[in-house]
Amino acid sequence: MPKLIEDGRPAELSLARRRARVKTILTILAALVLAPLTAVVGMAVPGNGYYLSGTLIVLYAIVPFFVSFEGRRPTAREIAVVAVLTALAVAARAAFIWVPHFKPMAAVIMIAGLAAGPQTGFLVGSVAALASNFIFGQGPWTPWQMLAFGVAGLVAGLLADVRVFPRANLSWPRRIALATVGFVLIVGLVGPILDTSTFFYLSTAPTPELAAVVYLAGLPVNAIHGAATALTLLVVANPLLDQLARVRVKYGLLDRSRPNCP
Amino acid sequence: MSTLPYQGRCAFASLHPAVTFGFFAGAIVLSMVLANPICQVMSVLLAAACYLTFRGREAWRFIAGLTAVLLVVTLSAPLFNTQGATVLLRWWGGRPYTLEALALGASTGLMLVAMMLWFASFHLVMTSDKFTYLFGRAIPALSLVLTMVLRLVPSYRRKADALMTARACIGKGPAEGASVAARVRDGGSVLLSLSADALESAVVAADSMTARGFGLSGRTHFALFRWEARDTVLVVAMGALVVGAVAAFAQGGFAITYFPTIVWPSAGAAVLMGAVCYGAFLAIPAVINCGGRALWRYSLSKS
Repeated sequence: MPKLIEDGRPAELSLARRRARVKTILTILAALVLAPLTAVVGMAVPGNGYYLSGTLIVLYAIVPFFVSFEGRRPTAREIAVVAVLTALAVAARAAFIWVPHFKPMAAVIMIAGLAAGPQTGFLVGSVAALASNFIFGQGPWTPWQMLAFGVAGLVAGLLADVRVFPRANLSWPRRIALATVGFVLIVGLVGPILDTSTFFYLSTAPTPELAAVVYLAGLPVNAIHGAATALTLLVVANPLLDQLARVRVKYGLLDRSRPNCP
Repeated sequence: MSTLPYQGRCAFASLHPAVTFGFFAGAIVLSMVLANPICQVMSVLLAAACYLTFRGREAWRFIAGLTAVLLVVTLSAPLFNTQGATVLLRWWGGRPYTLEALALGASTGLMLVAMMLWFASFHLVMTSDKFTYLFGRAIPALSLVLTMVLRLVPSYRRKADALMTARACIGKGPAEGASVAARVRDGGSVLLSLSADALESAVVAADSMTARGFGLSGRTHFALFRWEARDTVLVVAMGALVVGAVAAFAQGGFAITYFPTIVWPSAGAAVLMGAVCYGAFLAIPAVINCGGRALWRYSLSKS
């Protein structure tokens, strides 16, 4: 029965879809124009202009993904699957309660990206960061976390798109490669983005020394975070990808070969 | 997360979400832009007052922690910044530790503490229902995702707890002193049981939504929030005060240079007016909360 509902969408949707695509492209162009402008204005603002303009640029990077998702007019099923993946990413910590300082969120986000593609991966990552901040506390770090975890999902999705990793049934060498990618991604990209926010709100007068101290102090934290991500990917990636493949086969969700899916 | 009691106890939380959001956006942005020490001290004190009116005695621990942050940021700033003419002492082969860098460090620390305090109050007042109410029109699908996530996370946590208890009952839980790898494997099993259940019920929930007419046109929304006369009054007052502060800022009244020596802005009437406007703006939540509480006590004493 649900199939009927899925397929019974109005015919003018292709027009709406085209309009949505134009809107997305316009948003991206606006972001590309606004970002350097904001950077220039931020330099001129006294006080913490760096943090202010940096945060605005981060928001410009996030908005096109949100516009694109809204423009797609997702169905209830698409929304529900994105919400469940996001909630799993946020709640995954509870399953690892016996392992101290263990953050599995990025790993679940990466798996979502692998299974559902870069756009949905970014969405899951950024909404997971926003939602977990609603629970643990909003702060000046919120937009930066949204970008950092979104990028984790985005990169995983891109790697699946160029077929570096299959979307299910990873062989052992592939699993180890995925865990390595997870570690490198956290230490090399996600962690530094988060450290940059720390650096920016400490930098009314940024100096190279301060930058070195902030990024070096972040390194051990990022290494632990990366190790947790790699371990989670090693243990969970394959079975979870299989579960997602089942959803794909049984319900036709998460399938990018079909036009209406996330 | 016991955010609900604050709504009842604190008058500021009962304002329209747009007014609340506007206030915090203004307070946080102005706290970052107005880098004058007087403005920063005002921002920190009034943010602390605002947070205190929301949390009462529980607020002091957070404020004490932030005081430590302020001290660390201030004292460590000259270690990374050697500009400034007044050398207080030399360390590590003659690296200068200057008064000016110390002052700039204090300014950075005050700004950071002010931001943290405003965000802490923001977190208490801007609950997720207000957030989705404000942005639900602009991003309907995403605010639905957010609403679902915020509802699912606690239920997944409870389920994870139940799964772990069940596993412990049949001797599958992590043993005393188990290795990290074993613990991670155990957590992985819990997560996978959780996700298998979650993915299946997602589809069921979505079909149920579709069956009840999700996404059809002509539906209305119910919200608890109503725009009242006091919201209009506050928006006008807030706007005027922000304009006053920004005008003084635009005239360069708050500009201060730290290097090579500290140069204070000359305090004219415009600067004074700007500072007063800024202080009055930031005092709004604390004043409203105290006023609301006084009114409550008064009405109690009369009955």
